[in-house]
Amino acid sequence: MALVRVQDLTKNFGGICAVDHCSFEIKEKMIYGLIGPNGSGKTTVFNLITGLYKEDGGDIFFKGERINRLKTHQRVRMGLGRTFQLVRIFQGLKVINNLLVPPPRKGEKETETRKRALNLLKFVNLMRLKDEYARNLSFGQQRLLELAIVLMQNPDLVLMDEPTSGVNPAIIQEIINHIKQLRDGGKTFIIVEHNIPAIMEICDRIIVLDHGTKIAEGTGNEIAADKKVIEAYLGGGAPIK
Amino acid sequence: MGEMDEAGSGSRVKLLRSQRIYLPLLCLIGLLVAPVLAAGNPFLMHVLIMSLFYAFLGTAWNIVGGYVGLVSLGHAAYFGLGAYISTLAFLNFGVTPWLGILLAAVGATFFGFAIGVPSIRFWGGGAFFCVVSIAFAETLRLVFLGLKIGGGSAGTLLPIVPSFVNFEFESKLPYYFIILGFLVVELLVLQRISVSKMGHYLVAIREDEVKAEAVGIDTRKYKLLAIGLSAFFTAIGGVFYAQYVLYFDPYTVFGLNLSIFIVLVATVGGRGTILGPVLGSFIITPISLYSNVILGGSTFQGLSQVVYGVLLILIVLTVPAGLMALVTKALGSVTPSEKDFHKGEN
Amino acid sequence: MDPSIIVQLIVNGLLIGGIYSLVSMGLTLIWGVMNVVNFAQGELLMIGMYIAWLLNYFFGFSPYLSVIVCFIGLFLIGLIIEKFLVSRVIELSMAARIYVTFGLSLFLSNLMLMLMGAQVRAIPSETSTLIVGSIFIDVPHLISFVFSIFTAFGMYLFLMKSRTGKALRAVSQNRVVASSMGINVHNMYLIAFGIGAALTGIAGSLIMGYYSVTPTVGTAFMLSAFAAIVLGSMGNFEGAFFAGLIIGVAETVGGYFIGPDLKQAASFVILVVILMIRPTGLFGKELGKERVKQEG
Repeated sequence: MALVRVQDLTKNFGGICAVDHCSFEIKEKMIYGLIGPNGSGKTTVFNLITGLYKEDGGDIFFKGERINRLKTHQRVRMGLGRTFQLVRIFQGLKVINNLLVPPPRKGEKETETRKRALNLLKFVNLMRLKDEYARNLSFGQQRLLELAIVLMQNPDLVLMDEPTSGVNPAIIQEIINHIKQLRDGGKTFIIVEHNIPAIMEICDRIIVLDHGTKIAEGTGNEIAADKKVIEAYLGGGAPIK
Repeated sequence: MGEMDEAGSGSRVKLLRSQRIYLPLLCLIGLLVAPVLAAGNPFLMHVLIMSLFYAFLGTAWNIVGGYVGLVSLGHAAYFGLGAYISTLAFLNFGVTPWLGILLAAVGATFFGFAIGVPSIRFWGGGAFFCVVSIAFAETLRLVFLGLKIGGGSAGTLLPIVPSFVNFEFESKLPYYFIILGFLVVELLVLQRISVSKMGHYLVAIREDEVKAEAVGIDTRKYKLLAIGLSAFFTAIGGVFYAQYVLYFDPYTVFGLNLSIFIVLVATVGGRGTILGPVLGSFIITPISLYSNVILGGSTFQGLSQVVYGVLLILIVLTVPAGLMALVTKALGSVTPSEKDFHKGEN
Repeated sequence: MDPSIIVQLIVNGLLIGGIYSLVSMGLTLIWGVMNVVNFAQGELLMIGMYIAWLLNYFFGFSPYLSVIVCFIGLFLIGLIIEKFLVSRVIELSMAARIYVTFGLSLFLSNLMLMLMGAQVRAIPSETSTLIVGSIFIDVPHLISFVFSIFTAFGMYLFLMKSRTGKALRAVSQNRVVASSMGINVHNMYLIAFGIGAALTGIAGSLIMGYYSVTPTVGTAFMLSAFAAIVLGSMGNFEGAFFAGLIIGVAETVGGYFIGPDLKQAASFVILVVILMIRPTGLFGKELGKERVKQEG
């Protein structure tokens, strides 16, 4: 059974069709890449899946359930996590509180939540900064913090919007390693990226969007050889090598 | 804001703890003793009562304006509703204002929810809520005026029948202690909330609403709860006012001037801190009341609003965390700097 | 009920609606480009009205002549306000922006109160009425309406055809992308605010053809204008124009049935209703949310 199934998803903004009858499936415990030229609708698809935007047509299924009518925080509680293109964390709170603020799991004791939070900080290597105010972190550190916040919810699916943009290569590698480790632990990822080498390295499967609809899907090699994909990029953004 | 953080982390900053308990305690003792000093001076007594009164209103507003970060410029709506509901029940059905307070508070809370639902959305980022809040209070004013509810523009007069049951007293002293009691209870409630789950969610919503929703917080529910609670307390303030002054009209209790003054008190004192509005009130209220006496009605009207407008701008641009931030800084504790206060929002 | 009364009300509503349109277009332009709700927009209208009155009182200018002075004057005032005040808050939170423009509105309305006093001022004019069928059209209203239509159309052409207009629209769409295209976003803010104020200034002058001014007239107009920009979809220039007309009609018709004092309540009800059923307005772009994620 697919973890996520998106069917004929459509979203218009005024006269512009950002997502146009987009359909794809996401299977469990894999890392998917979602790529496409600028304006192809990637972030919009994320916003639709997480519920930040209301779709104009189509269905979204998560864990077999149709989630169109659920609000964002309800989808989050179902096990859907997401990071943002321009990193979003609670700037005015301390790092540790960034992890403690979100609702804990049902019935979990405060001490357990704290323990999980500290473990996550160790996982992303931010333990020594735990009492620092989040706004004082470097950009790369903020990205790692954002990852940790998402993981506090123990999501089954994590949507990551350009997790490596604006970050130095050392941290990029760290993030990639974390994602792989989490995938091995049973999580599913969909990653929007422009960083093609990173996508090639990390993704099990890649979905290509153009003008709001899926034009190709396959492994990294299959995508790189796909004529449609090459055309789409040459017409718009950066070409794949 | 400091409270929100210290509560979250396991360790308390030692320097702060003694200040947190002793300083407010000292203030409380001072306030308990103050009436003695004001004994022979009814105007001073009035100033003290009004300072506590606006502190009460400012603290209620703070729940929405400080902790959640919504700009409500129409809190007078709940104030007026409180005054009218309780007074009309008293005049028409003989309901004791002590019960009237409950009716008024519940009624206002209901309206708070009703108005909150359409106006709290991601779109417009708070501007919707603000304009709706202004429009709501204005509309109430026009409706009560136009439909001549409770006397319309002539205002509502309460009969002078001093007794405890009627929540009316000949001397100012009982009023003083009542409003002081209300304020203390309100502050304790706010304190409990600020260290609770709800308090943390409200702060998260203020820091980054989209993110709060994205980590599983039901932002709509908590915003509405905050609005309801704020309306609840504000309405109580309205009842107190009715029972203290024994006369009011739609302009006074629904007017924009009142809403502005409440916002000013809380903002100058310190949005998002528990004691900020109290500080703000004890600075601005006496200045305002004495200026009114010195300058005389009409000059005061225009000039005071000009000053308020400038103050609002200045505070937001220079010390957005309010004077409370300066106070805590002076007392040596660590607080986020002023510019950062706003950067975290939106 | 006599149907010609409804028609009369609609006509009256459209005529005043033209003024609302100008104010709303200014407001929505400022919102679209700068993401700022200018709470002082009503006060800028009021200032325009006073300028027209003063020019008439001292020099006998007709309010239709003063339009030029008000346009330039309010444009300059708008530039000054943006440069010294609004530009400081544009990077801050929405709440900060609201407090500052609201504080400005307080300052301006009460400054005028202190300078000009609370008396009602009006420009003496001879009433003349055009009669079309059974409809009475008040000529000053009509002239103001025609002027506002021309102004709106001119503004529309400016936004669509001129380089500055296109730049403004680009910033309104996506600030980040616009600046990477070489547009000086801060200059655009200045211009947007200046134009927003200028449009309101024109409206202020035109309305003095039949209205009277006090320091506090601004608030009521602000509320109506805000209802209009929400109805017309925030940031949508054409939307604001049509919505201004609709609001004018709604208030006039509503005012007839619920009484002139409660006319304001009509706008409020409309605002709440729109927010409940279609918060993105009639011409729906989800601008607010898009703004939440201003990404490339």
